[in-house]
Amino acid sequence: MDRRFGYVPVIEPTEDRSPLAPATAAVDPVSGPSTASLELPAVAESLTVVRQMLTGLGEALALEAAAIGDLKIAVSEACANCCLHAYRDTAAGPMWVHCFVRESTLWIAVIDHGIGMGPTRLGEGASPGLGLGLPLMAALSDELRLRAGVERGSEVWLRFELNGGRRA
Amino acid sequence: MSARLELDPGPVGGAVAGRVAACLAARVGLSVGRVEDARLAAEAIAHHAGGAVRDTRLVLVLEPSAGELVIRATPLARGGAERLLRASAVPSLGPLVERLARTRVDSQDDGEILVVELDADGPAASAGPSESGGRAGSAGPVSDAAP
Repeated sequence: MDRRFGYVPVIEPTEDRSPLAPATAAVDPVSGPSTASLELPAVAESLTVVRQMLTGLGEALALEAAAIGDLKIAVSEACANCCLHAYRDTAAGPMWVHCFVRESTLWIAVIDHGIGMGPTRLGEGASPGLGLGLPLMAALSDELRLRAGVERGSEVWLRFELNGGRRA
Repeated sequence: MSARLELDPGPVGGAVAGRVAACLAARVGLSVGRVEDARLAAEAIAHHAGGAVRDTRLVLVLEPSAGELVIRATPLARGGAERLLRASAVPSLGPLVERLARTRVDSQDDGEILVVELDADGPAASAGPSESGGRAGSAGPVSDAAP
């Protein structure tokens, strides 16, 4: 698969758990508490805060400016999806951004408790955008995992290799 | 729009907290100098909270309101707020957080909450005992507070 444009089109079922609970290896790509977790309302204004958080994280990890840029674009896309779709027919609910630094790997999870995703919602013009969000996230990260279920919220997991990974 | 940040105290957590606090401080219309003060205060708290938290994790609740950003650091052990403020001291400047913002300590059942209030004026404008009986900074902000 061409990593520049492809992504893993697998949607795993969402687990019943607290969004702030420590990750578990059984269901998550990583285990243990996050390095940093941010809880915000799922509104457009929150994206700036998330981007600033990622800038601070990237600088603390001594990432190159281009890598921080990719990180911010990919995670912003996941957060934008959350703001646009997760609480579509209700008041904006919460959105969580978890960052896990594990040796030379950074995992970022964007989680909501919204309406989730199903086959109908994923396709057939359900999105008002161009439909490039998921391929973009996949292209800018080293791995993309989705976990969702109808009315069970959504989770987007993004892996970034800190020693270059996709760029090396 | 309030934000809740949960992190491991240390340099990475400090960098993250500083950026988030600065962003929210800018939202409430604080001057560039006070935005930088907010960044420094949050970074100092998250960096030095290792010996002050009750467990291993620090939670910062950041609440922006009109012209003010309030940061609540919790859950701190008894005496943890004082230890945290002392740990943030910079040689020749003294405790950094108290130079930048008004601070007070609220008691919880089994610990403390450090409340840090950043507004346009800085701690010098309201020096003296606070209503809650907590501390109030006696020195001005490190940076100039523009109107």
